[in-house]
Amino acid sequence: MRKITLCLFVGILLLLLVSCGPSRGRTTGLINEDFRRGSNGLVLQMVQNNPPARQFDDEPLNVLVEVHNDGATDIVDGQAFIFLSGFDSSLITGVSTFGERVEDLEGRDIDLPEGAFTVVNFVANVRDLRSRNIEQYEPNLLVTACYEYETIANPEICIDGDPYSISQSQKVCRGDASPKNLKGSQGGPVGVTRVKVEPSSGITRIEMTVENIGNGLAFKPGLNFLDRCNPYDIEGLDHNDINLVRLDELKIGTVDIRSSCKPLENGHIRIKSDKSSAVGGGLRGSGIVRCELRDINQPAFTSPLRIQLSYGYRNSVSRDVSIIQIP
Amino acid sequence: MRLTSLFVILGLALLILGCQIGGGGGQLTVSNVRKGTDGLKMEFIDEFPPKTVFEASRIILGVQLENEGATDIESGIVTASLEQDYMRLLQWNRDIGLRTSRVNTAVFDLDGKRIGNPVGGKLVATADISTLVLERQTETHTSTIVVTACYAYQSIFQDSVCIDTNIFGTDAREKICEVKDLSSGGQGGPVGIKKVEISMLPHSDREKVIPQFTFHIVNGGGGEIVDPGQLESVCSSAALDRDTFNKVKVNAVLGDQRLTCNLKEGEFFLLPKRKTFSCRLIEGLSKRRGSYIAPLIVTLDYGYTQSISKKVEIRRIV
Repeated sequence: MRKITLCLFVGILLLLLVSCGPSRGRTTGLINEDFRRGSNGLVLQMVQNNPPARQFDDEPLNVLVEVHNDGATDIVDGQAFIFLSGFDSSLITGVSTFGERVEDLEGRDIDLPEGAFTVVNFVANVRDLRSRNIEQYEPNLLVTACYEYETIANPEICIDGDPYSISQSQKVCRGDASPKNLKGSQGGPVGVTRVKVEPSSGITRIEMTVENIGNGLAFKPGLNFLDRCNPYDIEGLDHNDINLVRLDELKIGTVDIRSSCKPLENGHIRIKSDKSSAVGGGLRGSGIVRCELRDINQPAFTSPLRIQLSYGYRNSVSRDVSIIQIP
Repeated sequence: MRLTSLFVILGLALLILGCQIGGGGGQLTVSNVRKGTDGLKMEFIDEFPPKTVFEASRIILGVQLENEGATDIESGIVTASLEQDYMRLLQWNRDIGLRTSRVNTAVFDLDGKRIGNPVGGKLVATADISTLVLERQTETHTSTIVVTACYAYQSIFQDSVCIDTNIFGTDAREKICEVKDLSSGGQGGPVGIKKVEISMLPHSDREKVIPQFTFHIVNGGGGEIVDPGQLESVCSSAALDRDTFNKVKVNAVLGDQRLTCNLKEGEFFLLPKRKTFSCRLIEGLSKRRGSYIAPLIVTLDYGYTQSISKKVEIRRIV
């Protein structure tokens, strides 16, 4: 009897210990401060079986797209559109060439660590294939998202206006030290991936690398360019519109040093595309901009470097669909 | 009590097994019937006629006709050619699917392959033949029986093509596909399209492009292309003019829009030195349509004639 009681006691104790221990995968609290991470903006996913891989021509074509704001920028109504293309509009009808407007869609933030989701539904009609002597029609349906996004990075850098000083006074930081708090991504498809600081007498030079780390195409921000991202737009995005990211803000503490940055094209950083192909637009690639803070009279100090970039972005998913005439 | 438990367990086991066995499902098989270069397949039935026959006797000619292509044959003609000094065709028998027209010709209908029925129609045509008395000096004579079929047929080329309305543009429009040539091993008929060259031509309106398709045609069957309006003449001893042969009627459509071909009245003559023709969408396509995949459908209508033959030895009755 004693042994049984002892066994039970040990068992309960073990259970208690296991249940009270730190659990893996859980956040330490409700607040997620690390929401500016990841290289996604809007993530598109076609819902399984919508459209199915194969369907008959007497059924409507349903394309259900799950849109997830997986970045750290809120989408405000009118800043994002989803388009369906890649098919012959004489056979698949009823799809708006103006796209579907995405309503307000919150991005990741302290209170919403996963970002918000919505679903966009395209319902199209399929014309009769038999009368057109078509046994099977196999379009590649392309769902494209065009949206405005921004990236905010806040690395902490050391400003030292007198790096070659021979005085023995202790400095709080070294001017050529690597910035703190800079990750490879900041919750957007364009990220600040590297910041180099080079101090000299009275001047601190900063070199930033801005990179397209998503799987789409970055283009100039603005409604005009957002319209041209539409695959049905007569003009389309020009090569002078793409791979350009606007530098909205570059501040060390409260000092704005944006005007010192070079090279900038009308305030935009050009991302040199590493890879491009006949199918799809420019992908990946990076751009470098160099800026400087002059007239530093203070002893070495650390300061947040606030970088804000804004851009338009286009990414897409596709699915092969086979439409067959009803036997 | 134990018996009840046993029943429950047995019932559960049956349910589980039932679910596993019955879960077949799967999609309907939809085979592509428009492939290959076969149309009508003809062959003599073994021993009909036999290799050796006697003079002044009756024999039966048996020919199996099988439609291995993807077009229904309506009012196809089958005829037998015999050496009139040695054999005479008495009549074609009214077998299933066979109608007689004149003495030495018969008319038949044969379903082609289609979605849901990947096996074409088949029939056996029989005819009664009598051999004539051989001349006194002749012990044996080898005669050739030729059976010819003439029928109207259709080959439909259908494939998905990439249309890129912005091929000359410098913009960064997203492209779903690349424009490239197509090739095919046949469309379920003896005459077919072997290759399609696709190009996008500039339009006078800068907002448009003209898609152009160059088709390479082949006669992949063992017969001859004839005018479908003259099948009766072809399957007889009537005189024929040059235009009766090699004529193919063409109709090309891109999606829902008819293409204009460089042909007179839509007729193409397949000649040794001319095996291609081109079709365009003259009105052009707006750049607004971007790149997309469209069905290209080309219908080739033609008549076809083909023959088979068999040697028969006629012997004198001693």
